[in-house]
Amino acid sequence: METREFIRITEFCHNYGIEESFVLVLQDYEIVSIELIDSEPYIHEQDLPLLEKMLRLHQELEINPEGLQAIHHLLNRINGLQKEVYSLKRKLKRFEL
Amino acid sequence: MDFIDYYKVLGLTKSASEKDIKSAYRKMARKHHPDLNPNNAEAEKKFKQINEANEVLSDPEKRKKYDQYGKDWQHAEEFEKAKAQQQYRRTSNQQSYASGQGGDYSDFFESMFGGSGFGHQGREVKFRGQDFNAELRLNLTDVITQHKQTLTVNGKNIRITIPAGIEDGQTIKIKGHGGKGSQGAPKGDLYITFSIQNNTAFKREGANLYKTVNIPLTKAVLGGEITVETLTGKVKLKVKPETQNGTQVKLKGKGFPVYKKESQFGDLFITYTIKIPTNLTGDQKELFKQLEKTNLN
Repeated sequence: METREFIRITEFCHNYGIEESFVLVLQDYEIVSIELIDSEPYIHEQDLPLLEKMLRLHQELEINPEGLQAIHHLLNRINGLQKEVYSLKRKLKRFEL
Repeated sequence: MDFIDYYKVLGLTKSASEKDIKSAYRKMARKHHPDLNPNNAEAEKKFKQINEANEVLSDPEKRKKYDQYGKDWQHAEEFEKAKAQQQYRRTSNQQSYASGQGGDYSDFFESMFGGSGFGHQGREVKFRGQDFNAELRLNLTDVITQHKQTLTVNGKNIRITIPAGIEDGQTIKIKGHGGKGSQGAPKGDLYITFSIQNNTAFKREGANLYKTVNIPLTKAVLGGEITVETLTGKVKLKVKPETQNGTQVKLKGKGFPVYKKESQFGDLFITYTIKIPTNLTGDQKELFKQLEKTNLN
């Protein structure tokens, strides 16, 4: 798949051998957002790693959309907390100088 | 090559049913899945082991072979041939075989079942390659100007441009420099996190720099001129008369370059610390006594 700003959902699903409904359900659960360009649904290129991650979790761990939504929320929180810890450590370093 | 107890990996016994295996696999995979444990190499390793154990134990044929030969898997083929010969000759000779030794986990799997890997249970899913994470340590003086650097990631040299003003802990993404994708899927990305060591006398907060400068008591009281070191060289500063301890002055545009904003710089904040003189001579002490008598506050 070539790199560009938007990726057509039909193309993504064809490449990964999945139904389009999977991506549409993720949109319903506010995990990814879909853009309509000339009535054709697209996802933003920057959402691709997230979509792939959700697909792996769904296929490998049989996690349903409700579970994916909870995981997405918690991973975002972990990410935010990790950044906060890093930033606090940096601030602490200044006092250690 | 070490024997791997796949039952133990999944926390099961040899009598485990198909349902038990499926349930144990799901439970452990959910706990150790790399997507649920970001930046955790240990979880990734454990997940690989769990997958391998499931690959063997959930396939009746593989499980049978594994159960039959166990740690003697290395000579399984040899044993099978010998058995066939024995049946043909109708003799009662016993073929002996030894235990396997040394090596690592993946070799164990491949030697026993071939390098088939995972995900061949009727599903051919394309997966984007794994994302790689790397840390690059630089000094603060290295990121004052934009420069190019060659990195070696997984044996491959990658030349990257490091923009001026990059922050400690900042991560940049290099697209398509991660692991290879499966079934023709795209490569993963390379994430480089910068660890910037401060090798200067400045404290940095974003694009602003902070420095404490000592000034003599007389200069603080009477005013004067001092020379201050900045990132780009020395500058002369006027100290106002009656400057108080802790006074902060701002040198506009003398801070750090603003990330990805060419020709934009933060500010340099200088905090004055007034140095109280020590080892005074008799005359100097006398002068201070005279000052004291003037009821100076």
